[in-house]
Amino acid sequence: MKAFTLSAIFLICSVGAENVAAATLLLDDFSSGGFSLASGSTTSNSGAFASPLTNQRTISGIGFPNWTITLTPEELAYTVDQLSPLPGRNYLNLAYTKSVGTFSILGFNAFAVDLSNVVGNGEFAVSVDGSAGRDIRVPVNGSGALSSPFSNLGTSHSLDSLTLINFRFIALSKDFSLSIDNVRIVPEPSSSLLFLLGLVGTTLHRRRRR
Amino acid sequence: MNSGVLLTTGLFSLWNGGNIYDNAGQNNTQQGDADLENRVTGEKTIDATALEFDVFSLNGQLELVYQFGSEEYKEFVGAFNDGFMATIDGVLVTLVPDCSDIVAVNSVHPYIDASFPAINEHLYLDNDLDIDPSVTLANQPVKVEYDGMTIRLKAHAFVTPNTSHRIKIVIGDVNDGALDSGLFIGESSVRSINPQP
Repeated sequence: MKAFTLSAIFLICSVGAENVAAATLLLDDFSSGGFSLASGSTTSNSGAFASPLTNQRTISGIGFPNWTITLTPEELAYTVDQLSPLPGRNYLNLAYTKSVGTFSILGFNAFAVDLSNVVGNGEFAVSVDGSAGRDIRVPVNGSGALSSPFSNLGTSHSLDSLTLINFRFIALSKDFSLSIDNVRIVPEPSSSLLFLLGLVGTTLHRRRRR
Repeated sequence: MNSGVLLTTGLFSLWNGGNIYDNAGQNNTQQGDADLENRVTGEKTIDATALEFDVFSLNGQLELVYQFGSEEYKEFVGAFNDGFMATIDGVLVTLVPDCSDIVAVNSVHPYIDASFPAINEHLYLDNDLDIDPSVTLANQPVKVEYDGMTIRLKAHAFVTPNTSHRIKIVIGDVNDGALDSGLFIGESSVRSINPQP
């Protein structure tokens, strides 16, 4: 009876785990297209871009004086070689928008990106509808996965009717540069835990059957 | 515009000294205006300055004359959309002349680059010393610190005659308070006019 109960729990967890696994959303791995932008010439690239939630992507370099942005099939790179005289006014903006209708990010917990080749100091901020400028920034001072929880969002807008997600990498030192990959939304910790429990449960269940 | 009222997001003193600095302004760390954010800027505002009053209109039309200037021009077009609005009985009236857009940094500017082509450029007066070397302190078109301005614009609204109407005029910095913007309202320009010939 005990073994049956455990198996039943594991089964429920496994079913839940399938949903959660599918719900981890990769918005952009930068695998398509390639271009470069620079201050003083073209400062943004905008076009139709299919992602699980949105249909438009705009990559922009903001500020004055010097910065470059390069998109390769592997990553998006941002380099500043002279800092704006105004703190926080040099940044890379990565916007995903939905032109018609809205989308929901309920059921998730945080935005995340993979960073590499990080030089200097900067900040990472994510905004959605109605939150730009109010969002809590996360320090960027090294390579690896970087996340910003939804609790950093400074909006009162409902997270189930959004039209915009905006990722901003702000230069705080004049040598700031980084490469960005795998822009994604990650599920709630409780869901992740459920996923792991389900995985463990399924494994144990299969071993017992053998 | 020789006289009137100036609403600014920072320093009042920037209005008549000519354009000396490229990044002038003062962050007063004051509150923004939610109405302005929802209807014009779309982003957080700070250092908002508002003027709100009632007028009694004998006639069926109200108008006011204004000029908007900003230190955000032209380096931060597309990024720091400082803006303002005037409403009469809650209706936004500070639009470009064909009513196709609001008046703000991002909606009135010259050609910046391929990403930000000119929008309503015919309404824009360039006052930027750094970017256009032909502009000097002696010959700059407008003797203000702001790097760019609109030409003199007129807001107009049809109203119910012989009643009181609420006018709200508000300006704000967007995202940060680093660079100032200002709104000049012409003296005696808020007036009721008679539509009859």
